[in-house]
Amino acid sequence: MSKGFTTLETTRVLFEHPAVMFQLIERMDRDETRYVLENDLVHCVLDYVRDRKSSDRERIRRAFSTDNLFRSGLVIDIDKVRGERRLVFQDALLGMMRACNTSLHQELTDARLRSFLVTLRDLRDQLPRTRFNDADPDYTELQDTLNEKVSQLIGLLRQNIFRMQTISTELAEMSDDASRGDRAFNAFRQNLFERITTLYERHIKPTLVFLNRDAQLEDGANLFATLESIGAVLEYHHCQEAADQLFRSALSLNAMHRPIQKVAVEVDHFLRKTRRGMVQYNAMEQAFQSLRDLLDETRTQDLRKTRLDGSAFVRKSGFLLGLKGHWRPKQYAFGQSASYYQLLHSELDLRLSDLRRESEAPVLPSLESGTRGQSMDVQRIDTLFRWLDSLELRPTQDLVQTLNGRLEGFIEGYRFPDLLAAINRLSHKPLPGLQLVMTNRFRTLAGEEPPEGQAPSEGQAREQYIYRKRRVERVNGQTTSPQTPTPHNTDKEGQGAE
Amino acid sequence: MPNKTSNPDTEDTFTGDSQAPPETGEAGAEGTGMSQERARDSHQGDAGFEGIRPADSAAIYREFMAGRVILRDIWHPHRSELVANSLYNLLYNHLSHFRRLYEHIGYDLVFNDRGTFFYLRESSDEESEEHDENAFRVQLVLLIIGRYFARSGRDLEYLGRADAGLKEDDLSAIAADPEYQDILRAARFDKGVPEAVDYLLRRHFLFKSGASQYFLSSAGLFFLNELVAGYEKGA
Repeated sequence: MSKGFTTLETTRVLFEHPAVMFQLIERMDRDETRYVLENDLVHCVLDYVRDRKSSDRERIRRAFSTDNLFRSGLVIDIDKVRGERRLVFQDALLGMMRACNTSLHQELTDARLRSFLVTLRDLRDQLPRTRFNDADPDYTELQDTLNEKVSQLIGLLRQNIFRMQTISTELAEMSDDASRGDRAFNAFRQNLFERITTLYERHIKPTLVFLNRDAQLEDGANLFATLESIGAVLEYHHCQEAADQLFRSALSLNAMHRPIQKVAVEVDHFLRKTRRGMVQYNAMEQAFQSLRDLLDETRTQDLRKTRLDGSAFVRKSGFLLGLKGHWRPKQYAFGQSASYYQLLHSELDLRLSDLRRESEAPVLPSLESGTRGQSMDVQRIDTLFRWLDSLELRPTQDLVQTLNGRLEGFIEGYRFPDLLAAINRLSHKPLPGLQLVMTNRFRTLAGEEPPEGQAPSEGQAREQYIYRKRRVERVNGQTTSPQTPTPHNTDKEGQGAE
Repeated sequence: MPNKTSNPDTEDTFTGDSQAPPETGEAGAEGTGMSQERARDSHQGDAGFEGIRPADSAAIYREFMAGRVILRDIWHPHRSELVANSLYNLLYNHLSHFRRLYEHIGYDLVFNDRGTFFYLRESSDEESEEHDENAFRVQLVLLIIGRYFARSGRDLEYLGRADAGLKEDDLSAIAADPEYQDILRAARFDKGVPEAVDYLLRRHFLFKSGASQYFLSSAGLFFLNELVAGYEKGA
């Protein structure tokens, strides 16, 4: 019994490894078929998983197996013709896959556009035969079809415009070889003309004509005239809402004319280019492609990555490497203001009073001793708390850091977990004249490096403590100036950045 | 004050963003152009602070500290023409002095002979993330302008001409393109095209030649030309 995946899981795997489907869709488009041969699928998958980890390989193989695809409903039909199995994929899946890759967008041919127009005309002719009432199933059905067709048309056109707008890349690729060398240019130009003309004639021009308000068609009204007459019929029968909706759709279709026209102008420009112009065009496209790649990197799931990382890009051209920026004043830890000296003095006072009591400083029992038990823990915490209660505090921007500075290296056997306990104690104990404010900013404290030449054992590994910053403020509202870091804080920040 | 015409043509001696501008007096001299340089420099007594007015030197320093490049020709908004930049000539004629001066305060003075401009590079912290930040932002905006211009069917050469260049329509067309918008925003130009244009203007990669007309300076155009040359070579 082979393991299968749910539809959601299978879809997830398909989209995690989209290259397989991309390749299959490409093949389908090339052969102009609507099915995939099972053999092709198997080959694609085998090719794709060859260099992957075995666990991955198995997962992908199972997800892409015909059985699994069929069972999960992503393949809707399996047809056996002359001993070959043909798989028909679900349209929605193919649509999504195409949406993820512009090169897979289907070109909108004249015939397809025409079929839309004919359908719309049919609907227009059928409409007067209904009773224009929501109770009439003929009418509601017709309405649904109308909405569906119009939104399908808009979707297709939008996708197509999107595809056309990437035409610059296509043009650059087509003319790549010719633009680099003088000799081949003339011979190539003919070929290029033909290819671009085909693109223009089969792809851009029909769409442009289709979306032209004033186009006169031999076989009847154009798109907008058809939509307008449907709208008029609906309005006449007091179906205002439906008429409005159609009107809005006509507006968005009308707006699509402009971007396509822009593309047409660009193609036209391109055909007139000299070799020099073409080189410039292609060079700009090539360089711009690297910017696009950088932009794509910001579009991953990583929420922190929102900026382009240009260091590699800059180094490629080497232009202006290390260009000096605007000079901005740096923040110095030393100042001449009264508050700075006040802080310095109060910090010194506190440290001096600590030193005066050095003989009284407790020794915390070592955590590593084998005889650790509950009583030991209690004794340890008790010692620490007694010392804490006798400590004098002053307003500070970062209590955790300050406290760590006053305990570390001063109290024998002090460890990070003790700091946690100490902060906990201070949060629950009323501080005379002071209040503790928890902020939402996170800071990191790093422990001392283990001695050099000594491999860090488990106990000695460098510890890190990530905490929320806590401020100590005077109750009467006089806080310390946030701009003036205390000498102690600055010192510690330097260490934290190690 | 020496003027523009006194600049010898160094086109065949140096290439690109030369790391080694005419190194006078000491090592690094090669080719015939170089020996002429040396003769000229020694003739002018490029020995140190003598012969350079402190006010001029300070003006150069101020330009560099504002993140600007120093160009051979700058736009004179009142006369509406490009005029020779005396600071460039001063730098050029006392190159080894200025190179040493900036070396002593932690910078590299880089001379680009084909784009005819100088810029200041922070010599420390090559690995830091911000080291190439400014260069990247300049390159990015220039590239967007260049691509837009090439796509509109015009020769890039026109970007560097005061009577042609970029017009209001061009800027609004760039601003209307969502892809350019996204790229600019991801490069910390949150206000989009106006901010990007300002960025180039402030650093003298772009000049304003009319109410809403801009053109690229020699430094700006140099970058685009380099991209084209690089492409042609098949880079």
